[in-house]
Amino acid sequence: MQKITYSKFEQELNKYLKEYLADDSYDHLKERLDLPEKNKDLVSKKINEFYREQLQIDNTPSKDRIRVDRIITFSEKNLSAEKFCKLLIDLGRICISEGKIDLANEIFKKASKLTNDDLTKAESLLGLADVLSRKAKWTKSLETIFDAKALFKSMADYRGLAKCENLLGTIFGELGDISKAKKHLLTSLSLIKSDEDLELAANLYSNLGIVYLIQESPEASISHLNRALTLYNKLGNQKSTSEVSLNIGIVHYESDNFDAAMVALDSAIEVAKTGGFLSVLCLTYLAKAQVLIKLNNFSYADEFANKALEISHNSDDKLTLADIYKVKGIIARDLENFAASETYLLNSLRINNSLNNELNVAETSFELGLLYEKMKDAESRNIYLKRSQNYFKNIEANAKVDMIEEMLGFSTAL
Amino acid sequence: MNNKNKSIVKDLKQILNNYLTKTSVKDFIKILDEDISLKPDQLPEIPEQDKLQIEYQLPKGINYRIPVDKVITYCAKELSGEKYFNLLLDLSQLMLFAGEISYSLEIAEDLLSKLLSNGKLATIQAETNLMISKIYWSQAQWDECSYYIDEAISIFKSINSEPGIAKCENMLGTLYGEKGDFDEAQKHLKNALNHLSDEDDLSARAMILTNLGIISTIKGDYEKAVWNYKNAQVKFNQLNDVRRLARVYHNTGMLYTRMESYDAALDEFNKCITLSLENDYLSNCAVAYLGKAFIYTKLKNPALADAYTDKAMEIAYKLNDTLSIADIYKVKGMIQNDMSNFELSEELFENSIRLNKDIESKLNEAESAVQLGELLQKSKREEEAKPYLQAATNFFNGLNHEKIKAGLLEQSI
Repeated sequence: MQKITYSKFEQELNKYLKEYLADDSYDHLKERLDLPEKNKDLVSKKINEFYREQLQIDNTPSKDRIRVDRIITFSEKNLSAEKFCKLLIDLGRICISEGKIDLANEIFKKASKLTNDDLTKAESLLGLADVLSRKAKWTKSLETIFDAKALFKSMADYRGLAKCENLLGTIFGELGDISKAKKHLLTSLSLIKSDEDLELAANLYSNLGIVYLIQESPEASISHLNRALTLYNKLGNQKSTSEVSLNIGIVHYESDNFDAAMVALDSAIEVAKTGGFLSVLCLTYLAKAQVLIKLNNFSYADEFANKALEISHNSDDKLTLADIYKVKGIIARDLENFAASETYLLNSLRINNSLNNELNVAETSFELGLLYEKMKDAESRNIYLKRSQNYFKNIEANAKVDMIEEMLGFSTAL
Repeated sequence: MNNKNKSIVKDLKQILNNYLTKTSVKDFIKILDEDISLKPDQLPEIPEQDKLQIEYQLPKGINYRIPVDKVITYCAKELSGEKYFNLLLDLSQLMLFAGEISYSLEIAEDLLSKLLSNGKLATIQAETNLMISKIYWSQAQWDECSYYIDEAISIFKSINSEPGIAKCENMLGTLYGEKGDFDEAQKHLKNALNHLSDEDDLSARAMILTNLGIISTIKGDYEKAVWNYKNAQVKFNQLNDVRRLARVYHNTGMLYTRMESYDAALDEFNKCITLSLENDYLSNCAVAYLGKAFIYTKLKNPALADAYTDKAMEIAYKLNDTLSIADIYKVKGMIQNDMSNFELSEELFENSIRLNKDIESKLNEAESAVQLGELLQKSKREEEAKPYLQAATNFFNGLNHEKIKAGLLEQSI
C-alpha cells in the first residue's frame, strides 16, 4: 500500500477530526479524504496540447490592484468630487467584470459614502447590490436594490429602474424562481428603448435566453442569445460576446448537440482567455467538462472541472463552486467511484441549500438519485428524485418531470 | 508596469479618457506604466533565508477548500449538533489563519444561520458572532466588525459569561487600536482582563497581554511591552498555540524596530515567518514581510526591501488586507525616496494616505503624512508639506507621545 505523506495543513485538519469524531468515523472520513483524486498543481501530462493551452491562464491580481489604487488616488486629487465619484462607479464595474469582487465592494462603498448626487448614489448602490449578489448575499442585495430603485424612481430615471429590474431578474434566476426572474426581465425590457440602449437590451436578451433555456424552450433561447450576440458584436463588447457564446454552448449541450456545443464553448474560451475574463472562463470550463462527460472523456472533463474549481474558489463564486462539485460528482459516478461521487454531490447539495438555490438543489438531487440508483439504494434514490421532481413541477419543466416520473415508475415496477 | 492582464489595462485607460484631459491622461499613463518595483537584475546576492522567504509560493486555496468541504459534509451526518457546530467554528478559525478569508466567513455565516434557527447553544452563537467580527476586522471593515462584537457581547451578557465578555472587550480593544484610538483601546483591554478570574482561560489572557503589549509599544513604554510579550509567549508555548506564538514574535519584532534594534527585530520577524510558512499561516506573513522590508530600507538595502514589499503585496491582496496594503505603499514610497525617485515616492505616499483615510486608520495615516511631508520639504515645497506635517503633529500630540519612529502594523490577536 502506498504511504501517504500529509502536508502540515492536512496534519492539522486530521488533529481536529480526531478530536471530534469517534475512531471508526475518523478512519472512514480519512479514507475518503485520501482518495487518489487530489487536486493537481499542474495540468496532467495526459491532456492534449490544445486543452493544455486552453487551461493556462496568466493572472497577476495584486498588480491590477496597484494600478486601480494609483488611478483612484490620482483622480481624487485631480477631479471634482462628483466627477470622481462617477469615475469610481466605472472603476467598480470594471472590477466586477474582471472578477475583483472585494475591490469592487471597496470602491462602490467609497462612492456611495462620498457622493451628494442622487443619481451617483443610486448607481453606487446598484453596484453594491451586484457585488452582494455575486457573493450570494441575497437579502442584503435585494435590500440594496430597493434603495437604489427608490432613488431612480424619485428622479423618474427609467433606465436606472430598468437596470434594477434586470439585476432583480438575475437574482431570482439564481435563486431558481424562474417565473419571477422572467417577470422582472420583461419589465426591464419594457422600460427601455431597445434600439437605443443597445448594451442593456443585449444584457436582457441574454438573460431571457437563459430563462428560456431553463424553461425547456431551446429555440426561443437561441433566438434571444443570437440577438444579444449581434448587439454585443456591434458594441465590440468582448466579455459579453464570450458569455453569450458560453450560453449558446449550454443550449446545444442541453439539446444533446455536443459538437455544436463544443464549437461554441471553444469560441467562448478563446475570447475569454485573450481578454482575461476569468468569471466567464470559469463557467466555460465547467460547461466544457459537462460536454466532455457526455463524450465519455472523463479525465479531460476532470481537468476542466478542477481548473474551474480553482478559479471559482479564488473569486468566491459559491454558486459556481457548488455546480462544479456536482459535475465532479457526476464524473466520479461515471467512473464508478461511488464514495467520492456521493461526497461531491452532497457537498454541492449542502452549499446550494445554504444559498437557497432551488434550481441547483433540484439538479443536484436528481444526480444523487441517479447515483443511488447505481448503488442500488432504492430508498435514497426515491427521496432525491421526488425532491427534484417537485421543483421541476413548480417551474413547469415538463420534460424533466416526465423523465423523473418514468424513472420512479420503473423503480416501483422493480 | 509589466501587467499581463491587457484587458483591464485597456479598460482603465478608456475610463480615464472619459474623465481627464488628453494631456493629463497621457502624462499619467506614462507614470502608471512605470513599474513601481525594482527590476529583478537590481537584486544583489540574497542570503539563503531571505531567498527562501521571497520565493515562497502561496498555497492554492482550493487545496484547502476541497478537504474542508468534504469534512463539513461528512461530519454533518456523523456528529451531534453541538459538536458539529464547534467543529465548524474551529474550521472557520483555521481558514482565517490560513488566509482563506472568504471561505472562513462562508463557514462562520453558514454556522450562524444554523444556530439562529436552532435557538439554543448561546455560547456557540456568541463565539460565532465574535469570529465573524474578527474576519471583518482583518479586512478593515470596521462597521461590520463592530456590529458583530455588539451581537456577541449581548449574548455573552445574557448568559453571564465573564470569559466571553472578556474576549469581546479584547476584540473592541483591537478594533479601537487599529483605528488609532489607543486610550479607548487600552481601556477595553484592561476591562477584558478584569472580566477574567485567575484560573480563567489561559489563551484569552495571553491574547489580551499581547494586545496590551502593542499599546505599550505604541505609547513608548517598551519595558512593559517586553514584559507583556514574554508573558504571552510563555502561555502560548504552554498551550502549544503556534499560530498565536508567531504573532507574538512579530510584535516583538515591531517593538525592537521602534527601539531601532534592527538585528534583534530581524530575528523576531524571521521566527514569525519561519513558523508561519512551515504551517502555511498566511495571515501572519504579510505584516512580517513588511516588517523586514522596513528594516532593509533602514539598512540601506532597497532592492531586498522592495522584494519583500512585493511579496507582502501578493499576500495582502490575497487576504484582502487593506491596512497592510496601505502600509506597503508607504514602505514602497520610502524605497523610491531612497532611490531618489521622488515623483513616484510622492505618489506612493499619497496612495498610503488615501487608503488609510478611507479605512480610518489614523495612526498609519499620520505616519504616511510625516513621510510625505518630509519628502516635500526635501524638495523645497515647504508650503505643500505644512498641512501633512501639521495633521500628523496634531495626531501625535493627541497620543501624548513623541513622534513614532517605526510606524508599521502590529498584529493584534
